[in-house]
Amino acid sequence: MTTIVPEVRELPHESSVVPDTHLPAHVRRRIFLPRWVHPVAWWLWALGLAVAASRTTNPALLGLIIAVAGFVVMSRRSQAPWGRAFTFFLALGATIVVIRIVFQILLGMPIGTTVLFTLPTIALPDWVAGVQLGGPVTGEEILAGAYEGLRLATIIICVGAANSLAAPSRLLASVPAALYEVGVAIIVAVTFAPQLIMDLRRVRAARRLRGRPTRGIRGLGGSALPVLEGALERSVLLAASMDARGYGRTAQRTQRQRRTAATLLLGSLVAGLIGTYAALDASAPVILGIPMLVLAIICAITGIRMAGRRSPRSRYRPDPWRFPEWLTASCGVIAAVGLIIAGMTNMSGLSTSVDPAQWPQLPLLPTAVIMLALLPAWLTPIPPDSAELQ
Amino acid sequence: MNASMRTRLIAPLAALVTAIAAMTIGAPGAQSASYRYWSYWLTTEGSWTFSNRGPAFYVPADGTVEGWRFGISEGTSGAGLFPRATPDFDRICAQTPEQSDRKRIALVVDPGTAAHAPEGEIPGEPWAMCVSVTLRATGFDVLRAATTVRTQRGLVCALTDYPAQECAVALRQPSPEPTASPKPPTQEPTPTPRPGSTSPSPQPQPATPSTRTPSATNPVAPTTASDRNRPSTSPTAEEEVTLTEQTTPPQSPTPAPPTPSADAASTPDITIASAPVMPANEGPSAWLGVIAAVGIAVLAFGAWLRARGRRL
Repeated sequence: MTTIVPEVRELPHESSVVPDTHLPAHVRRRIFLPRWVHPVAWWLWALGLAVAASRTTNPALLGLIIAVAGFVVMSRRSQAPWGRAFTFFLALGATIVVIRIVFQILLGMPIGTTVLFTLPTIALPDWVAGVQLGGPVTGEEILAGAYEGLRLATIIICVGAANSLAAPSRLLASVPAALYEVGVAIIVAVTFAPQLIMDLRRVRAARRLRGRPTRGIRGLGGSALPVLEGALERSVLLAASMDARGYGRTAQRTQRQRRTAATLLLGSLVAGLIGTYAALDASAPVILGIPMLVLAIICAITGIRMAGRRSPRSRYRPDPWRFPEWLTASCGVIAAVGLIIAGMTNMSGLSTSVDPAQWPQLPLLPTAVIMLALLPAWLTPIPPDSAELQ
Repeated sequence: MNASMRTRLIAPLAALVTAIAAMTIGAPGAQSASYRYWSYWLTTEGSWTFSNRGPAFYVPADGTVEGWRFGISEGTSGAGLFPRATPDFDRICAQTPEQSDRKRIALVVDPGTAAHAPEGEIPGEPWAMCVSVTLRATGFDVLRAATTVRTQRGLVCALTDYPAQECAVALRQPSPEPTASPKPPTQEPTPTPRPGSTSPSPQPQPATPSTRTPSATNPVAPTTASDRNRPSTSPTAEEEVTLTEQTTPPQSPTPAPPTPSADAASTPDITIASAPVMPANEGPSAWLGVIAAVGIAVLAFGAWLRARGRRL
């Protein structure tokens, strides 16, 4: 399907992709003309949903989050291979739920009275009294395991949604300049991973043709060496070509600038450490919690900016940050904040009782903020490669 | 030049470290967190003993008295919050016949005082019940057989739907003085363990080798304000439901059967339930779940349509 994308790319006709709304023409074009939405906006949206999912064990809310993420992904994903990551993450989520239930059956604490079946109990010594192997398995226990597993699966599916919505190379292009070298290294690694697999296949095919073993330790040893050799040769070639094109040039900075940046980054790490500990530890003084985290964020932003002056580069065609980006990012942030507020005010329905088993509730505020995250499915531009297909 | 640069740079770093140190030391470090939760009590020689083991990991023997008390206490060892009733097995289990393949456990559940209640909630009256369970039943099974238990992440959050929402919350302000349960005069200050997170594991914490024997003990038997020797028998199930709705405990005219502790003059005012104590309200209805399922299905169908390239 993706192989028949035409080689010569033409801009699609405007009327086919820009919805017929009553907005003025220039506003419509600004919002709906096919272009890539800023990857950071998609990541903020997805991480917001993930934070929202981490605050609840209500299966109705978790299911809604998965459905919302899936709908938006199917509406706005790219046709490139990474656009199909979402189905993989759905399968991964299902696996997580199953594994969580199995662990609950084997090791879990018995909850409830509805005994489904009884596993043989393995007697453990007294000093591991907290662990029980086997024993009666109750329906409530399995339900509790399924809810907990569903929460983790939802968080991972949200990350998967971001993966199939945001182009990885474009995300790397918008990393701050301080992390420029790391970004280049990741891009090289991501590009070379498929080539390594191709190399491995080629070497194994050659060995098979020569009648040498391709399996077992001997086969592995025989094919690993040529693959490694090829990888080394390729990296030396790449390094030479990058050097010739002027990669790795750093700007002249005074020692003072460098040290200030380093101090700020170190300070932000220390403040972040203390702030995280204090925010999680209920007995810590309040002043150490949120204020320290804010200080850490300020230090980190300033430090990264100062460190970024080392690489004086202009960005090639940077992704714009316009209304759709603001909308997408704020939808995610609102979902996260809504669920956090609901959790702090002890709103009912965030957790579903398993003993006695009860129907999940649909609390108003969490449901509303989760449904709000559907908006990017309509109010963001279509990715250019999908627009071509229409 | 270089040296002056260094001193200029060391200054902000030193300032930062000093600020952090000042905040850490100067802040009220002695302030320890108190928690509001159900604590689990066992008895040794007729007095309440805080159980460091979770109820799911303790198999009480026949004739054990178990207690549950809700309230605010510093740390997670239930300091001073034992149930306000004498652990009297013979009185609670007087009406329950002994059976060969089952054990009898006397259970005392004390929702605590109004001062310790969450905002807008009224604690019910303390009650007791003689629970007849199979020989291998744990303390959690006993509790589960007597009332509804809400658990979350392995913590016992609520008994008989009290408290309604919260689950072992940490409170920043110091705990109010327990009003109805006088602290034993010889009680040592309980060491406060620093919990690692906002959700402490005060109740079903798995026993570690060192905590096989309970550490926080209340050596003095509790006494309550009302030491009346009120005769009490098992009320009927209907009366029990009204009891959980926080009305007055049923006054039964029938005299109590003679028990060994009847003349001990320390029997507190407590209702003995004969049937499991159930909360008054039902759970949420099924139609909200159905609405959620329909919504999820519509969204999934829409996603499938979009994946197939059709427009909605």
